[in-house]
Amino acid sequence: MPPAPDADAPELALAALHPEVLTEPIPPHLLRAARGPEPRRRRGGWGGLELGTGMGSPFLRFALVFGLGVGVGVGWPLRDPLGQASTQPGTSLAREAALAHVNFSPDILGPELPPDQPAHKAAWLTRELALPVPPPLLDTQGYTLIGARRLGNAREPVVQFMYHNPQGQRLTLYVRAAAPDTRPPGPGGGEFQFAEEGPVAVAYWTAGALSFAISAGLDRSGIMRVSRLAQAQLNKPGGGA
Amino acid sequence: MHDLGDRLVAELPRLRRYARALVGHREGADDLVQDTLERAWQKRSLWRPQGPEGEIRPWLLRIMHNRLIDHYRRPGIITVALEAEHLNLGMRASQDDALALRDLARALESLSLPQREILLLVGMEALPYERIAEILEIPVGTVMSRLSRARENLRLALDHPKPASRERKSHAPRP
Repeated sequence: MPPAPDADAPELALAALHPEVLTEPIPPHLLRAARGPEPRRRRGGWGGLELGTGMGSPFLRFALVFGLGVGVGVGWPLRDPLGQASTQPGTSLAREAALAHVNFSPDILGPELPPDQPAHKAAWLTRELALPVPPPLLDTQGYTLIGARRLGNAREPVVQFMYHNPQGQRLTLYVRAAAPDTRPPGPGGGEFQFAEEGPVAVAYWTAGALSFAISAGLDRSGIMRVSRLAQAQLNKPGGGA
Repeated sequence: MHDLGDRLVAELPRLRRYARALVGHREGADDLVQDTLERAWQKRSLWRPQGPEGEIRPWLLRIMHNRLIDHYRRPGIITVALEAEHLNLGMRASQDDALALRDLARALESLSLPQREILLLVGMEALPYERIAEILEIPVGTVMSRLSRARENLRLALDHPKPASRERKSHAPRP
């Protein structure tokens, strides 16, 4: 990363310029411009499904949707932040999560609440998104839940939770159905795995039918601490908040 | 699934970084990116989604190149030169790395637009000469000769840094 310009090819050092632009939030007007003019593209996530009736409990609805989607692969065109096409199935979760982290832009914010009531926001998002597990509370590690975003599509729903700390550093939790071959046998949590996608570190694991990935611009021990806290809440039935 | 909007959203971080390095300041870069995205939607019938993954980028870079030329042909565009405090120098870069990156950004800034463009297409976007020739609509031989001149100027600018001036007129790119 430190540019030590090569005398023959000094331009190669330019690849190290402006790494922050790869990971900072994208201005909303540019996201709108990228998505194009009318008609608005369809909304992904659970949106279409919620129009249906008789789907039973939120948990059943979520599980049903995930069940349909399992094994079909990734429902989102993926590029990792450094531009290599995503090919390794074993690391695709980490890449998806890192890419989603790069495109950080919460569009479901939940109620504005005093800082001492983070659990209310988590409960509100859990209802709003019809989730099987509430988002974990990471406040003891300094990260406050600020919102969520639906990704994927109706067959392969994905949700991303956004957190930030008082310094404005952001952290995201990416949740989707576990690919069948990554499901650990029996209930309980799988092993943590790590990946680094450019400046974004990702810790990911699978618990039951769901895969989780936490992305942040942290070092390994930092992301490990936050991920342990999240895992402890996510892996117990009934979840975190 | 592979619709243009999804592809453009996925390209945004890299497109913004390239524009940032090319234009030298954030606001101008994001204006250029927005202009490029709008143009891409207008010309979407020319995009061939069946190309290999990543092939959308040369198409976008070519649109951006043409938008930039149109911008710069208009008279009186002022570019604000980089100031040290405006440079956001990478996450967790050590102080030495940060200084080296600042010097590099300044050296790049001192070159003409066509030279910045060719250096970034090779060094930052890592594109082969044939692709660059298509993007810039010039022969491959011109790519190589322009690159060689630009390298020489970048080396000179790194060896003999000039203090950043407050403002300068942009130069129209030479054909």
